[in-house]
Amino acid sequence: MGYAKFLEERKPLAKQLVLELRKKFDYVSILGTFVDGVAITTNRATTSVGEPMLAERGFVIRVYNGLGYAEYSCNDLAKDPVAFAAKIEKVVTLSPSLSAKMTKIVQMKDEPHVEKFNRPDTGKEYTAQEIVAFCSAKKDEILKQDPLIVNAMVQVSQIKVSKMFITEHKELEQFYTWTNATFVCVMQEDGKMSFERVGNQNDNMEKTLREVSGRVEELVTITKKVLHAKHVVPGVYDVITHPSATGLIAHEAFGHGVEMDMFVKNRSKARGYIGKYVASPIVSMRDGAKAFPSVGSYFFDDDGVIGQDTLIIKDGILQTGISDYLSALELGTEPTGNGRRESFKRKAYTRMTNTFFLPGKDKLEDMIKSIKHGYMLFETNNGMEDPKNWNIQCVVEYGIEIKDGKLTDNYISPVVMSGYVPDLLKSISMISSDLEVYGSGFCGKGYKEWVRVSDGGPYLKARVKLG
Amino acid sequence: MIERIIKALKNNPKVNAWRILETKSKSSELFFVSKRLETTRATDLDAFKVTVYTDFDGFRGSATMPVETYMSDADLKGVVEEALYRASFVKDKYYDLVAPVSAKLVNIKSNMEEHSLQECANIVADAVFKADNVDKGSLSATEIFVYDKEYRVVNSCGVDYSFHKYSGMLEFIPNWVGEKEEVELYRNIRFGAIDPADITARVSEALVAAKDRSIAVHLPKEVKKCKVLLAGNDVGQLFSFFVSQLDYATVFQQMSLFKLGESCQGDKVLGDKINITLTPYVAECVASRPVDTDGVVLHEIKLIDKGIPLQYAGASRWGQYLGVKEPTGSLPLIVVAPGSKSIAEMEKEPYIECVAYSGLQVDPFSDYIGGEVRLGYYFDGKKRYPITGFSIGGSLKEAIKNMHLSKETRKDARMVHPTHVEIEGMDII
Repeated sequence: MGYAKFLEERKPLAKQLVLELRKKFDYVSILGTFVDGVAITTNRATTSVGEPMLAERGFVIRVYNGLGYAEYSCNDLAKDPVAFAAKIEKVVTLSPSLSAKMTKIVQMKDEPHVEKFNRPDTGKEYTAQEIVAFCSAKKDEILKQDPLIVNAMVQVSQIKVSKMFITEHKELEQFYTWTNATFVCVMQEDGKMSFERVGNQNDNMEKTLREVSGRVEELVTITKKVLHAKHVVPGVYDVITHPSATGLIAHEAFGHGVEMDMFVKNRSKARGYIGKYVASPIVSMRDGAKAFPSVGSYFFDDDGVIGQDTLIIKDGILQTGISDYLSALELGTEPTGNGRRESFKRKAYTRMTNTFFLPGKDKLEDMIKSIKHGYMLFETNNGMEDPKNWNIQCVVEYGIEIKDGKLTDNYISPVVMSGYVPDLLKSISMISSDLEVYGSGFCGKGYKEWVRVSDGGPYLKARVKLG
Repeated sequence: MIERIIKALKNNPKVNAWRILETKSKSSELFFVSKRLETTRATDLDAFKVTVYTDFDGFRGSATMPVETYMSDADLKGVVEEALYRASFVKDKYYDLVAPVSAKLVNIKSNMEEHSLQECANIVADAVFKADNVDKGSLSATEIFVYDKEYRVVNSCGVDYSFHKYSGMLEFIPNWVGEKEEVELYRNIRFGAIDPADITARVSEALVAAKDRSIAVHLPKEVKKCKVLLAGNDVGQLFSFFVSQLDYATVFQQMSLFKLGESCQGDKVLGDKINITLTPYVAECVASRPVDTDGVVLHEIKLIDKGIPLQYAGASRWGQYLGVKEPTGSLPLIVVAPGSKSIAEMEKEPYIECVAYSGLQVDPFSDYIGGEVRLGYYFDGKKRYPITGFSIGGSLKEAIKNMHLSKETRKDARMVHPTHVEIEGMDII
């Protein structure tokens, strides 16, 4: 297991192609990707063995044409760099009508940097047979837990990422792995169904499988509770968010709003709030490939910028946004290593990596005790950003009622949190000293451009609208 | 390339069956910041997926692997061996691969074939920005994608079908400088042919919606219950719910709440009874395709008649598991019949019309429909005005029992459906 031989073999060709294209273009970069692995899913009826969702192999060549940027994505680099450069030049040349629509953008810098990064899975290496056996055994274990269970699913997915970034003066290479394991339980009774999941993630498959293995009972218990859950009476409540729900708020409420390509497009309200209070003074938030070791961690981003650790909110005050290289150029700021592509087939945008609120000083039990009537909210389902107008919708799997300072056995599901972002963030009155970050999520930009991200934080006490 | 892959598959005696999917794709993509073209992209890709099947002890195991154009014959041999190795641990109930039939596939026509892809993208851009000429209104960002794709499915039973289609996607952000603040909305249009006048009209309409959001107010606090009209792009999710509940895979895995011959809208349907047809082709709908990825040549079927599910539908393998002799294949398009009320009739009494959402949630598991609404309109019996900052929510089962569908329909990427759904009794939050 290690850096892809395919990219190693293509590196001389990539360097030749860069030099050939440099004769015509002032800036040229090539990103090569080789992302593979295995994804195995079992349920009560079938097993599937295939590639992870975001597997990809190919190249994207980016050139600066004196005005703006043009890109060409392809499966492989042709063996004749001269002919291939001529082909690329032809493809990226714009018609006069399109050229007229371009206005000049600053050229990217090409500073010398040669470095390799290697983060292999240091645990046991599993064969496909062993992973199938694990999935099958756990699926059977879940199915026999309760007669109301109609289906169970176990999925293990390991992704192996090799990437190479080449310019005239830059040669960056990275290899890393990530494993996700998810258990799903489905129950049905009297025309009602519940569908719950638990998961663990790590760069070490052995550790991931070990940790998720012990969660069958928890999964079945929650699924049964949710089967009998009631709908919440719509209203505004004091809530405590479990770190997984905290992460959803970090991601949707403010993460998307500080993606600086949104600043460039005049799509972010946050741009006008740098240096101002956007949250309660006890709130701090970070994002970055180096901010936390999780699924959003890497050595360099898809623009060839080294990953960083960015403090976004400090003591309630917005410090800065996060950015890809092109947005930073347009804004005259430094890139933060957040330029990410869904694959070599897609454009790079500013994207979150590992996004989380920082821990506070409160104890969870004190937070629960402080609530007369409210809910504790668990497990991300989905969310949607509104960076310009700061509306927010976060859907979590379930909540548990808190009455007179005590957690009850009354479950609600589903739980849709909505409201105005500053109202929500400024309502945060207690923060626990915990920190958990979950690397199981996918994030889209609008409704496309899916990348893996993590998010999380401590338990938060806030006041939100539930419906 | 396919011939080389087939040779590698046939050379391995342990391979009992196989399927190859090929997608050749070219694209031209334009990325605008305001009216300024920032980045252009072109792609030229050829992707293969090979599924290998091996039979043992009455089971059928399978595994899917990617194949790349650069692979040598030795590489292909290795891919087949790895796929066989992985498939040998999969103990699935046996099913047949699809056999070929004599059929003439529908030719998916598009006016995009008259131009180069870059020209097509430019025509779309000109149509978009023709509407971007209003005081206080503008587009913050626009992304245009046009694709030329060829699909081929080949299997060991003799299936060898291919088809070609053009498609496009336009994403734009209408922005309005209001008196209180600037506001924006999100729009996404998928198209199979270019209609510049329609694009310009839809951009203009989106700018008007952004203007309305800029002057939208909160609902009067006393409005807790009100008739809701679901409209806008997300309405399709409600109809997709009906189809997903009748999918062979959902049914086989016991995750469906619907039964054939029994009303899927409950016992006493007070609203319109739903009629749904699945079809392979609707002119200009992007999802149109004559054959599915298993090689089933697709034909239109009636799925639900007056609220009664007539049959299940879906991929061949799952159909076989349910004992269906001729599985329908995965039909790409949903056609929902018009309802009993015109929009004008729906709008006679007080209502809240929801047109832009943070994401309409339709959840059969927890019996929920609702979500946060970014732009709606409230008619209080006398005056209609834009509203924002509220959510709707309620029981999905109750909603489908009581809903009325509009007579007016719309067409989008994978659906033709009533534009408005009238639901009584939802909570307004």
